[in-house]
Amino acid sequence: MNESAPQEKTASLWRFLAPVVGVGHLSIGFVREFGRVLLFGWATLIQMFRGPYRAKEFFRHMREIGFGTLFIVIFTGFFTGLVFGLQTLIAFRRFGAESLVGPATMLALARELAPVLTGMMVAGRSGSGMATELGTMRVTEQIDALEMMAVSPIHYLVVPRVLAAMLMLPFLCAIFDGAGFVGAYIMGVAREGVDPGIFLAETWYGLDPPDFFEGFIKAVFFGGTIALVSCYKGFNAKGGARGVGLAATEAVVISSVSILVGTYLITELLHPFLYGYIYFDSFPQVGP
Amino acid sequence: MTDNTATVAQENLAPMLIQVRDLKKSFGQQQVLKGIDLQIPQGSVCVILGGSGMGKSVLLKHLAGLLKPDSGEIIVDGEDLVPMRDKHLQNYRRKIGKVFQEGALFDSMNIFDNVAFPMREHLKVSEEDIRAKVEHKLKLFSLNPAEVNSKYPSELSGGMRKRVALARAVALEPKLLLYDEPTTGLDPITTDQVDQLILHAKSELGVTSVVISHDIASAFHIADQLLFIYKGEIVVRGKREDILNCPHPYVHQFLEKWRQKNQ
Ligand SMILES: Nc1ncnc2c1ncn2[C@@H]1O[C@H](COP(=O)(O)OP(=O)(O)O)[C@@H](O)[C@H]1O
Ligand SMILES: [Mg+2]
Repeated sequence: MNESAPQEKTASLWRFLAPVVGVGHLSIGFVREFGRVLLFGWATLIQMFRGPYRAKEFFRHMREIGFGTLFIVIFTGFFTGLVFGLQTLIAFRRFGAESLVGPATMLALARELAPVLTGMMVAGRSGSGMATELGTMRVTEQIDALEMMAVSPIHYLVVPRVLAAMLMLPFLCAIFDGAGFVGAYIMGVAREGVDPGIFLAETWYGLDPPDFFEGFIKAVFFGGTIALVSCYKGFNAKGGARGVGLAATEAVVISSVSILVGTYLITELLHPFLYGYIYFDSFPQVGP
Repeated sequence: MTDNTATVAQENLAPMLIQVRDLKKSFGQQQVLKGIDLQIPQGSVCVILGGSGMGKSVLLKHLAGLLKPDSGEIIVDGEDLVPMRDKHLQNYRRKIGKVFQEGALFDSMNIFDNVAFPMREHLKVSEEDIRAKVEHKLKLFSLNPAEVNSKYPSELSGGMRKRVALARAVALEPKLLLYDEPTTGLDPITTDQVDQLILHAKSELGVTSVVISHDIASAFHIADQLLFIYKGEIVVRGKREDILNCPHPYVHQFLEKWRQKNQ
């Protein structure tokens, strides 16, 4: 009894401290992982400007990302437009501002929902795909084989994917905008009886190019983030099929969280430029 | 170690492709290679034996320029690898090929594209020339190009995949081929096929091979020179007899286990 007493004391102390230790480990792990992704991104950036330029790979990944997510993006966009149009109508009806449902829905879509939801869809489909593919290549030593053949794996595997995602996401985002508009129009005009002329005119005058640019700029960043994080996770997969599965899951989770945090940061950063500077100085006001 | 001087002196007659002197490497506290000396003549097969975790793969990675030593010299084909920088190392790696345990073929490409890949990356030649070269390499290892060209690695048997891996490894006509446990996990017949392939690469192409192996029978079969690594040191080197008569307790035990299994 006497001998076990100090042991029990330390044990209970550890139990008491466990959450602190856990939080500490998590924070250190997060910072370390974040740094590694940044270094990986830096290496990718350097390789991006080195030849040979792999056009074939680049177009293949553009096709895979673009066509692969086209349908879900249209689908998601349409239903987001529908439900967001409906919710906005319910809210605006309380203030008698039903005529503004078009621009209100489209502003939210163009600036925020389209890039974020498109990013989520691409992360879920293409991001997990990239992590799985590169993870499998890692555990079956195909990445080491590239290195042994004097081909930089980052140059061959990562650069085309990152560039393709950065270029493809704004297009998908634009398609989301379009599908969302159709949804909002159907909801506002066909179902809730807003005058079509008013709906279109208000939307036309209420929105400005910078609203869409904000979405597209975000989409470019999200595309880069998704591809980079997913490739990083794939590159560092280990331990067979389980490790590859884990890499894919983590790629989607980290990409999605990064998109949500990133969209806030980008919004804060962009506002002074897009709406304070460019908007007031460069774009002539049109309309009544 | 003194009894090795005779064999080393003998081999000095042939020009050396690889010369390693006093190679040391630690990972953190753990010293994995504790002063390796190695000389491999051009066109010979050197087999590295030893148990798991003894530093065999680490040694091979040094020869491939994938790891840098803490101290020592690695001279391959007259070039010192140790001070080499990235770009130089990439050039160096074109002169060597590596055969991976599972083949490491690109599963997104068919067999033709797999073998053509290093050529397309590094040779400035037309597609017709590449086609001719690829078919030549496939035939070298008894593969029928018409039959396998458009197949994918997953559609081939283990032995066939290994052949393709070899054809790809020699695509750029390397001087040196590295094999990390090419037969581990293979059945005896395929193991024998891989041994034949290694000897084939030597006789047909004059390639120097460094092979890591657990399999003593196949090692005796293919090797011109055998090394036994124990805890980061070469405890015995030479021919079959030198290994069989080695007094080192670990080598003795290793051989005993092997004999027991084969009776
Ligand atoms: N990159 C590395 N970092 C840290 N330790 C390593 C690394 N590579 C190998 N080791 C260690 O070196 C030792 C020898 O490994 P290895 O050469 O792979 O053994 P084997 O002889 O089975 O091929 C092992 O203990 C391994 O844990
Ligand atoms: Mg090993």
